[in-house]
Amino acid sequence: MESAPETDDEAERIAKLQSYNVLDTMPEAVYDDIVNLATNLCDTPIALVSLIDKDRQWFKAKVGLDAPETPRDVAFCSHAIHQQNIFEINDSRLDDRFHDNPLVTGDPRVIFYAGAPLISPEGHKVGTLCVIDNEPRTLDPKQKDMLMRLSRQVAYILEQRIVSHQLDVVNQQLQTANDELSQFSYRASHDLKSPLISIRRLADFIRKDIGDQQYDEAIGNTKKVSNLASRLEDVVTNVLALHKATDTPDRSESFSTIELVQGVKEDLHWLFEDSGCQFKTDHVADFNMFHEKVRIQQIMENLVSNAVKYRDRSKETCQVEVKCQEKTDRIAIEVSDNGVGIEEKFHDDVMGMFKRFHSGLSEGSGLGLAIVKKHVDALQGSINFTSVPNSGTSFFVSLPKGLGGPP
Amino acid sequence: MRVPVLIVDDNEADRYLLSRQLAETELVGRIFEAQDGDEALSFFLEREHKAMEFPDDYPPKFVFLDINMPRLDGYEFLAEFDKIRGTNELESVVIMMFSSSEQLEDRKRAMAFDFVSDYFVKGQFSSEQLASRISRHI
Repeated sequence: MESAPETDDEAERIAKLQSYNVLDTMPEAVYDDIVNLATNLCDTPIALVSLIDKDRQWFKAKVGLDAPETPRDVAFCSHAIHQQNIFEINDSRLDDRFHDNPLVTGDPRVIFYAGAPLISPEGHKVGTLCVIDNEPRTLDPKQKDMLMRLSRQVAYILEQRIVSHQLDVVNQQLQTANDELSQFSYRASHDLKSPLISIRRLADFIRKDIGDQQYDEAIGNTKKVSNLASRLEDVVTNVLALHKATDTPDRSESFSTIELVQGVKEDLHWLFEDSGCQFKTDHVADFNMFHEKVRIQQIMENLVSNAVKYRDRSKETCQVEVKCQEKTDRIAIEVSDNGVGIEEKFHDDVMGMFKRFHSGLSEGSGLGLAIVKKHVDALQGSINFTSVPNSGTSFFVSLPKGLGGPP
Repeated sequence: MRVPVLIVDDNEADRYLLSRQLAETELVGRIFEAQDGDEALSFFLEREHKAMEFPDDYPPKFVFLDINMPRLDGYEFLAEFDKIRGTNELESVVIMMFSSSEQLEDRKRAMAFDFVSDYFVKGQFSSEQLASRISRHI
């Protein structure tokens, strides 16, 4: 017996076959119809759609045979996928390559075999459409022609699996995006509406207080109105930032880490003045990168301002530290603080939209880390954190080194 | 007789607004406040301690509960409260939702708990309406 060698394009051929996601799937009527047509056309008891996997041939469709697969080294089809046209063995008992093949000497007694290759658009032969008989035969030219045509149909249907799989993936993504959007609009409208309602109600009470000459109460209430208005501002600003983070064209530029951190310092100087927090930048290594500065700066600013917002007011000094390091192929940014930390049970939800984990400390929009996550994703980086309640939190952002480079 | 209540809301202004409206009903006495569901849950779990501290006012007759809050939100609180009601002698406590959501699903989901009696949408009820709902239970 002579086993067929691997094809010259074996690796690509197997990759193509796997991309169909067809191996070990259930029978499908469209393939069953074709093998039925083939047995009738060639007047044979057996017809198969055989796919040549690494070590086996597996039958997507079969008539007249029970086995789901056979080893590749005894398969006639392993020979057929070396041919551009029909591979025909009229009487295997007289053929040196097959006369002692267990499929010839035992069941299913393959005496006659004709296989048409299933050729992918790239030219990889992933299997065959074949017909088998237990007695010697010869196909006439018309039968050969028809069998080739049917094999092209099978190849075409296989190829469609990729398209339909891609459609499924895109559909799934759309579904997720839709769910996210409806969740988002529910929360955004709540977070916009709720302070507005309170402001309206407070205004009613302020009028009443002034009428009753309760001026202290009225002044207290105007403060509440200001707080609520700032909260609204915060929500609106962050909703816009989130939108931009999702959908902004790449604007890479060349800049140094020192410039970057300086920008963060300037943007947030009021936050440090108001809170009395220390901002440490001793471990910012000075190096240049070609990256989307706007995104990286927003990542840092969100992390730093969170660190300040959730500082531990019971501690003598509140510290926020930024570190930047250049690794072989990554840029590592760390923002750490000695703040209140995040309880472990909330760790899974930290990056979600509208998530807040501290009551009374800060009335943020709950969007800050969702914005950070969008930026990190857009930069194809990763983010993780460690946090211990009452001890502090550290966020670690890892970004690939400059995407591309200056033109 | 004026009854004690607990307001659970992360927003300080909303707690203030409701306190004022409750005061206007002249049906309410001591007002406890919690900043989120987690704090409210602790408030009920520490029953023995609180009952000693406030012998006349604990447990409160009514809980006004917001939905969207950090840590434990309104729904999560309802689920937890459901579990501890029996063991902590809280069957007499009536919960009234107090939320800015007008969504029917929110209303249905909250009212599915039999100890939730009403659903108030923030800014859409008068002190008189509040008084009439409260007096049904006292």
